[in-house]
Order: sequence, then structure tokens, then C-alpha cells
Amino acid sequence: MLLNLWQLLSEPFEFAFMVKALAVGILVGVVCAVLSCFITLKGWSLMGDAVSHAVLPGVVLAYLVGAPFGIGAFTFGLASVLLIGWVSARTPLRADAIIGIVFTAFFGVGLILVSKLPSLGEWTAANFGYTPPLLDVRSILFGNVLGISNGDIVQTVIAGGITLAIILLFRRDLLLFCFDPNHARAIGLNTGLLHYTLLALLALSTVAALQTIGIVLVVAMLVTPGAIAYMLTDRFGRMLALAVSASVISCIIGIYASYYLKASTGGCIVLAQALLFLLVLVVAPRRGLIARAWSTQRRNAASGAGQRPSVA
Amino acid sequence: MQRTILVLTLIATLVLAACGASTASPNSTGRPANGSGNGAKPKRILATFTVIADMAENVAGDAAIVESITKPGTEIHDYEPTPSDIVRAQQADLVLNNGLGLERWFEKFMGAIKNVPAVNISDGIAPIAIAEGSYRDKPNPHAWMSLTNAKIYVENIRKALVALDPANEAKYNANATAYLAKFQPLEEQLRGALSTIPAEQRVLVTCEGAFSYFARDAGMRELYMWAINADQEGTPDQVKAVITQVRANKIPVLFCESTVNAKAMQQVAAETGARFSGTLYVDSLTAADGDAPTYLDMLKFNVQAVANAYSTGSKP
Amino acid sequence: MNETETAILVDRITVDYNGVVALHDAELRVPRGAICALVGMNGAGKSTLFKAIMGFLKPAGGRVLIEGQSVAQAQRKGRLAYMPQAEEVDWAFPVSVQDVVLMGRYGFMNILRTPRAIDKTKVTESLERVGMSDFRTRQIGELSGGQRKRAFLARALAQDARIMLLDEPFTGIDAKTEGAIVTLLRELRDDGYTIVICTHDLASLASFCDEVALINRTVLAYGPLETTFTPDNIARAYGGIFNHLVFDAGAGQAIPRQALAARARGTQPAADQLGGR
Repeated sequence: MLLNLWQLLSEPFEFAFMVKALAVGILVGVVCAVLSCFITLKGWSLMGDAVSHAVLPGVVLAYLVGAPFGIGAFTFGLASVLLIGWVSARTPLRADAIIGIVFTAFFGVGLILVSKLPSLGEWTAANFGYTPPLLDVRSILFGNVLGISNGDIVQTVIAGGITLAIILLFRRDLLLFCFDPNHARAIGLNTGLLHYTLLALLALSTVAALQTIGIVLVVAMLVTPGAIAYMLTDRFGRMLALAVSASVISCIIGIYASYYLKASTGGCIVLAQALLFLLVLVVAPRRGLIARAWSTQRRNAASGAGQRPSVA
Repeated sequence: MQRTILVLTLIATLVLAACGASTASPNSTGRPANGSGNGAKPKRILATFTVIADMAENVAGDAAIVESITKPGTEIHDYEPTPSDIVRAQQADLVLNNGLGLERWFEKFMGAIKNVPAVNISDGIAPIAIAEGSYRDKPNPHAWMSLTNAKIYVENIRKALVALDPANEAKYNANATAYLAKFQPLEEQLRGALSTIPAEQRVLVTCEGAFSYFARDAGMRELYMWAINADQEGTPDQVKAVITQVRANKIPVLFCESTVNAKAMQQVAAETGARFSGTLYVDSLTAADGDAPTYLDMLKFNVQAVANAYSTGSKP
Repeated sequence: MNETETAILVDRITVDYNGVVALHDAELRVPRGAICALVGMNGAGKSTLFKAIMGFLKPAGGRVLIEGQSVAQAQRKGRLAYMPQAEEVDWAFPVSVQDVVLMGRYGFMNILRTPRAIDKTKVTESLERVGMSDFRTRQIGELSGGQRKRAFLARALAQDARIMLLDEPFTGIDAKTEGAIVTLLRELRDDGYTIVICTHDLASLASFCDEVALINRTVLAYGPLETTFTPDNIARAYGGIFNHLVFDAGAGQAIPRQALAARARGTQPAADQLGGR
């Protein structure tokens, strides 16, 4: 029985492609989990969704000209947040409306480019002698962690590494910015720089996570781990550790599940995260549903004691 | 004042829309066929993809105009037609499709077209059933990969063209005969080229199970990652199955089609030591300056590629 | 009053939000070593002025000088400390009291914000001064209203900034804490600190504020309490709707104008003048 279990756990990893998938998945999980702590505290979940979708035209264009997809993705991700900032400063519209308009527009442009790919490919071939390879749109949208080439891995590692380094080095300022940007300004910190740094990190993490989970679901990696950790602790250091653990566990479970259930890897990872969140929602020590129901019951019992029984 | 402008704009829009709908002017960009002796406009034939468009061109010759809905390199199973595709089909005199479930979008597409006949040119071939996956037991649609079936395709195209355009019957018959005449020598050539591959290595490894007819004709076994481009493409178990088989049978070479992403197959190559020997063409031809500009060139190229890959050999 | 004795100079500033003028031609001079109250109705420009002084927004016209320099320079040197309103703080944020107080020191630390011995000492001293040493490791949401105020006060102290701006420091706290804070503010003022508070609590400010500024889309009047905190000015600030009553938002009741004027003059109101207390 135990041998069977061991067999079950080890079998996928007899294959190099599974080992690669797991390694990349874990790296992406760690990077996104750390960033997600800041994103959920800042309330930027929608922004995370926006940046991850806005990279689509950048990826397509990068393919067309033969540039690394990460450069295209990062450029357009950053462009979208700059545009959002520009519009926000000039209209009385609420932030969520502006974000919604900008990222969907970018995504729309991306879809148009995708649909015109054959003609665009012919155009670059005719004018620049460069024929772009086949672009697998499905893997961009939904991830294809099994199909990661070594070149892709390099981009993932670089983007992920830079993100992690910046966040960890500047975590105090970033945390202050999330908590009390006014104070940050008052003591002379450049809050504009911090704002755009955080947004740039969103774009970078999208580049890192693109291959594993696809741009449609990147937001899950940027939100759920932070949410899970937040339910479990009120210390930021522990929150970081818990988010990373939750993310890594979900990635591992998700990859195993996709192997044995023959299902989409990205979908399995995201579902694993959601189920983990559900579990935590119910059983978390103080903020979980059970804990709150129990403490309400105790409060009612305590205040009810010593009173006259009500007339039935 | 603002209300007046709004109302006028609405009326103008409606009027323009009505005009546009009723007078769909035919675009006369097609070059007039030289051979239409009686001065009538040449018929316009629209084919769903480049392979059968090429076949139809060979039968039509200069008596009719043939175009393909999809461009070279386009994925054909789940293609999404654009509005201009619908317009072109409406303006065509005949639409040719492969059938056998290849073009999953075709029924809905033709539902939007009125009074244009559609002919399923694979009628009459003996299908090979799909062996596994969500389309198990359905016919494998890639029937044109066998020259035997292609003869039936050509005959169906000839019949359709004659029925559509009896004035040019003689031309169509002559063209078809001339085209078919090229098949026999090619068949022998192809069989010869592949006979040099030793028996135990006669396995064709591709991404999609699109080469069943081709493999049968070539006397090779098939190994593929996914049976048809509708199933999941490149899941862990598919990759694992191919890796296991490649290792077990010491298969030296791997291929992938031009219309799908080859990354999964390259992973297999990296892990088994087999050589990823490049692209084969099945669902699409290439541009005129590419490897497979016509149907016959495509078959020749595929056979050449397979034969070369095996003969240069690689570590098993 | 010469330049070196002016802590804050607001020189005819105008502020507009997307075309709506929130504050026009506002003028204010706060001397060093004083406690100044900004009073006015909600939405009348009080917080706008507050934000302009802190440098949270740029005026469309005019300028603000902190100790003779621009606000940006003052910020860089850490001369301005800020205590936010309770409503503006995310109390569920996973930071402890000492984390928050340490934030006051960031301006002195290196780019990675590694705390040095001096920073840790300052944090401890500030916590002691406000009486929050026992709570230093608590998450801020676990604190009572008064403790929350004291935590943020400690942050301002740790910053060693001689000019402190407190936004509604007395709302939502018990009388004992209010007394403690007032005492602390007086001590700081005596040490030469300049303190500006934004407040609704008209009744109590008379007991410890030196200066007041009345705001209604502009600074109607500013200066020492005795001369500025008059019934007429109060009426102009509050729209003159209630001519004989002034609402005391903090205590949640209305006080007859005469009683207020008596307080302003420093005399105790007669008991029967106070009405329904």
C-alpha cells in the first residue's frame, strides 16, 4: 500500500518534462505568492487582472518580430498601467471603470492581432524576410507548462528573479506604501515611484507566470495565496511565509492532478488554490467561519446567562 | 437641438444599413477566365482549405476561379470564419468541403449562406476510424493523405464542376484525367522511397493522429500524441505515452505538423534522445515559395522528409 | 512675526478638484511652538487645507512654506509628521504597533530600511512616552480607540518632527485618553513643537489650543484663540444657520453661543446657560 503511494507520487517525475514543469511551477508560485501579499493588501486585485490581460498584444507582436515574448509582454503591461494612470489623473471616473476600459481594449487589440496573424506573418516575411513561427494562442491564454522551451525557462527565471529580488529588498517601503501612502509622502518617500514599481512588478510576474498558467488565470496566482494567508495571520512576515506555502502546495497538487486526471494543468493549479482557500475560510483559527460562529455562540451564551428567561 | 441630431443620426444609420444589406455589390477582383468561350462569367469555387483548393484548381484549370477560405498555415478544425469569409461564400457559385468532420465550423457557416451549393468531396472513400479520445470510432477526416482516396476526391470535384457548369464539361474532364495521370507514377515513387526503412523502425511519430491514411499506404505504424485537434493537446499523459513508446521501440525520429505547436514533441525528443526531424504538412499547404505549395508537392515533401530522416539515422 | 518664528505659512492658496474650487485664497500663519486648531464644517475645505499643508496635494495657486522652505523640502528632511483619521487607517492590516512606530523612522534609514540601534531606541522611547510599551507587539486592530491614537502619535514622535499635523485626534476616544493626549500635546508645545489639529470638537479646544483657524472655502479668520474664536467667526464658518447654537460634534450636543463665547473669553459659563447637559 505504501509502496503504491510512493509509486503514485514518484511516477510523474521519472519524466524530465514533469520535473521541469514542477520546478517552473514552483518558482512561479513563489514569486506570485510574495507579490500577492502586497496586491491583496493594497486592494489591487483588479489591477492584477488588468495587467495580465493587457500583455496579449505585446506577446503577439514579439512573436511577429522574433523578439523574446517577455519583452513584448512587459512593455505592453507597463504601457497599460501608464495609460490607466494618465486617464485617472484627467477624469473624475472611478479607478475600476478606467482599469476595465483600458485592459479590455488592450486585450481586444491582442485578439485582433491574433486573428490577423496569417496576414501579418506574410507581411513580415515579405518586408523583413522573417517568417514568424506558429503562435500557439491557447498556451498564451491558458498556459502550457509542459511545452516550456529552455528559452522560455530563461525568461521565466529572469522575470521571476527580478521580481522576487525587488520585492524582498524594498518590502518595507512597499508595505508602507500599501498601508499608509500619506505617511510615506510625508516622510519624503517617492510614492509615485513606489506606485509604478509595484505595477511594473505586476507586469514582470505576468511574464513569469504566462507560460505556466496563461494570462487569463495569472490573477488567481496573484490574489488567492495572499487571501489564504490573510485569513490565517495578522503578522506580515507570517503572511508571506503562508502565502508562499499555500502557493507551492497548490502548484504541486495541481500538477499531480493534471497528470493523473489528464486535465489542464493551469486549471488544476487554480482549482487547488481555490479549494485551499475554501478550506481556510472554514477552519481558520480566528477569521474562519467555524471560529466566528463559535465565538458568536459563546458571546450570546455569556450575555444570556443571568437574565430572566423570556416568556415563551 | 441635441435630440434632433440624435434622431437624424439614428435615421441615417438605419438608411445606410438598409442600403448596405440590399446591394451587396459583388467584388470583381477575380481575373476573368480566358477560356470561357461563350463569354459567360467564370464560376467561382470556394474551398474550405488550401489542400482541396489546390485539387480543385487542377480540375478547374482556367475555366473557373478557385479560392481557399483559409490561408496557408491556418488551423482548420476549429477555424473561426470572419464576416468577409461569409460574404465570399455568398458570392461563390459552389463551396467545396472535406467533410468527415474535419471542418467543425462548416455547418454553422453554411447555415448563414443561401442558395449556394456545398459539395462534400470525400464522399465514397473508405474511412479509417479514430482509435481513441473523445472522437473515438468516428472517421478520421484526413483522408486526402492517401492517393487512393485522393482519386475519389478528384472524381467528386469533377462531377460537381460539371454539374455546376456543363458548358465547360469537356475541359473539366480533360483536366481531371491529366491530373489523375500524375497520381500513379507518384504512388510508385512514394512507396519506393519509404521501402528502405527497416521493418522494426517503421513507425511514424506525429503530434496529431492525422497520418493514418498516409501511414497505411506507406506500410508504417502510427504513433501520435493526440488523436485529433480537438482533444487536449499535449497533456502530461499524452506526452508520457509517446515517450514510453518511443523509448520502448527505439524510434529514432519525430515529426509535428505545420499547424500545431511542436513544443510538446520537442520535449519528447529532449527526453528520449530521438531526433525531432521537423515539420510535416497535412492540414495545410504552404505559400508558393514554401515546402509544399501544391497537394502533390506536399505528399512528395512528406515522404522525402520521412525517408531522409530515417536514412540519416540517429541513436535509437 | 518674523520668518524664523513662523512654522507654517499658507500664502493665498487655491485648490481645485477637477474644476470644483475647494479652497480659494486661503491664508494662514502658524507660529512655532503653538497648538493651532483648524475648524469648519465637513466639506468646507478643512481637510483640503490640511492636505495642502502636508503636501498631499498641490495648490493651483499660491504656496505653502514650512519653516521657510517648500513642503517638498520639509518632507525630505522629515520635518512634518502626520497622524491620520481613524477612518482612513486599515486596522486589519497585518502590522504591529512597533511596526507602525518604526515607520516613522524610515526617512532616516538606508534604502533597505534596516533599523539601526538609534531607530530602535527612538521607537522604544516614543512608545514609552505615549504609554504604549506594553502593546508594542499587538496587531493594530487589537487596540482600543484611544490606544490606536496613541500608537500613531508615537509614530509621529519617533519621527522627531517638530511640526505635527493631527487629523481628528479626539474622535472616538474616551475622556481619559483624551486628557492624556492633551497633556502630551501641551508638553510638546512647551518643547517648541508646532501642532496643528483638524477637529470638530469645538467645546474642548478652547482648553488647550493657542490658535485657531476657521474655514469655509477659505480661511475666514485665523490667529490667537481669544481674538479669533468669536461667535461671529464661528457663525460664518458654520454657515450662520444656527445663530444661537453651535453644534458640538464631539460631545454630540448643541451649546448656546453665549456659553461658547464665555469659554472663549476664559470665563466659565453659568450652569443654567448650558442647557440640557
